[in-house]
Amino acid sequence: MRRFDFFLRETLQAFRRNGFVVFAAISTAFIALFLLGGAVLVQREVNLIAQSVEANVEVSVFLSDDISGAQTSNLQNMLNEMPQVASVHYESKEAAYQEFKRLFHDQTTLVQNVTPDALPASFQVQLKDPNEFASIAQQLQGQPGIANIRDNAHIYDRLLAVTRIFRIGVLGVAVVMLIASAALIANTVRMAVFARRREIGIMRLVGATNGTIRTPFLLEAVVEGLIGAAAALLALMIMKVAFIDPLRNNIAFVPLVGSNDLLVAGIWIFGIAVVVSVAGGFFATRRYMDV
Amino acid sequence: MIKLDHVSKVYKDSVVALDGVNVDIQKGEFVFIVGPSGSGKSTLIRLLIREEEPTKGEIFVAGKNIASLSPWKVPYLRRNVGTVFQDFKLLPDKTVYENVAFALDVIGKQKHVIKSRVPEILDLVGLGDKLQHYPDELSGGEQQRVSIARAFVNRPLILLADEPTGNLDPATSVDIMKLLDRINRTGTTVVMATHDNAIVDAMRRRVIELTGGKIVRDQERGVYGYGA
Repeated sequence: MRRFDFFLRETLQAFRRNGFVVFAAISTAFIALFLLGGAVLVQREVNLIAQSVEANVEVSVFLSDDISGAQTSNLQNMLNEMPQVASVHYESKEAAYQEFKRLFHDQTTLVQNVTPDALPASFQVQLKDPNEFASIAQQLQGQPGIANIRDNAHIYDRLLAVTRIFRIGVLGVAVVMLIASAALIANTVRMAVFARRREIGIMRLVGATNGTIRTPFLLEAVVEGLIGAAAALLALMIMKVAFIDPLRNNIAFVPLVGSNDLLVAGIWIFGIAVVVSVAGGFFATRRYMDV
Repeated sequence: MIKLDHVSKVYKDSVVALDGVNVDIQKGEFVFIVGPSGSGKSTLIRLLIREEEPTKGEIFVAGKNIASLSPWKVPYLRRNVGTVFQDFKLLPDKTVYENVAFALDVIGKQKHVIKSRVPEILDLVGLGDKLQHYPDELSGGEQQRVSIARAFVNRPLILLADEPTGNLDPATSVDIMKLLDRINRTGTTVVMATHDNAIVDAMRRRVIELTGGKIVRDQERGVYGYGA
């Protein structure tokens, strides 16, 4: 195969020649990939919150700290006997603390300031039908030792409903922008192809393979996409440091997306950038490849 | 080396460029294709490098049926067939050396091969002292020599020339013909489309005459035309 420095030289030359158009393509790719990364992060934030409210357990019955052993077993029996209840699981203060530590592992100050004693024990109840919450709550009302009853299923539903429009909207705009950036990248490649049509003609004449002819153009497209991706990831990192990290010790009890989630968003951004730019480059060079 | 078997080429607008052409060219032959403009000379050349496909018939080049050649094999066919055109097709922003090196570079030849072969071939065409000149600093004849050097640098089995002297004055044309003759003497099959009767008459080589896409004459040691 041909030497890499040849391809690189050709690519840099193309950038110099069509600076403005290349800039437009890269900026569009940047915005599209930034939105895509944002949508990925929002999705992961929703999942984190969903985990923290234990959405798979529909009802949490939190017990007051002064509950007696007899009252606890009494409540458990009562729950077990309710026809609407599918299963009941007792979560001790210690178990609640372990779960808390797992969810908020990145908020050290918060974890340090919370002792196992501070978290309530609870019954995690699953219902046969999540809509039966009201009747359960009514029956439990006034029982001794109950601090609070929470309808997790509906919290999760509301969370999903509120974020759905946002997520779909951002993803929709991202997809449109991705198509636009593929078209703009294709356009820069087409200009490069046009500027080098004499070379291409001679390359075909002397028996250069399609791969050899095409590679510098695809490389140009991919480099444009990757620059856009790097800028998008950088912007997301800045957003995280500037806006999300300061929240970490201010809003307690809400888990926030962290570096792991940013890594996942980065993988998406770079993957999609390569796919989009190769598609654009392929499209732009296709009609010149007919022998 | 080259064999056309009942080859016809009809363009979309039903213009018949070639009509049932049979040609058999042996290795090492020097063949002129003559005929008026539009007689099918250029179409014949384009078919031989699979720039176009025949509507009917079979074409064999170097033992391969190129009418049914799969597209990815076409570049390898072209590495065995050098081509020279009336308009030279040189790259204006590359030097003489770079223009010839380009042809080897893009088919993946190693740097040391390029470094040894390019000056050698440019010596052969008489431009050994002009490696670093740009095409616009050269005369038409010199530019065509560069173009021939580029076509021949990969030692193809066949050299196709489409009106190579079309833009040159008679004296320069004679020099170009001497060069093509030299290349032919190395064993390379040369096929040249032309309507330069003085050259054809002087060379006394095989002449194939096309008129309206049909072969009307195929003559050893021929002249341009009976009337010439």
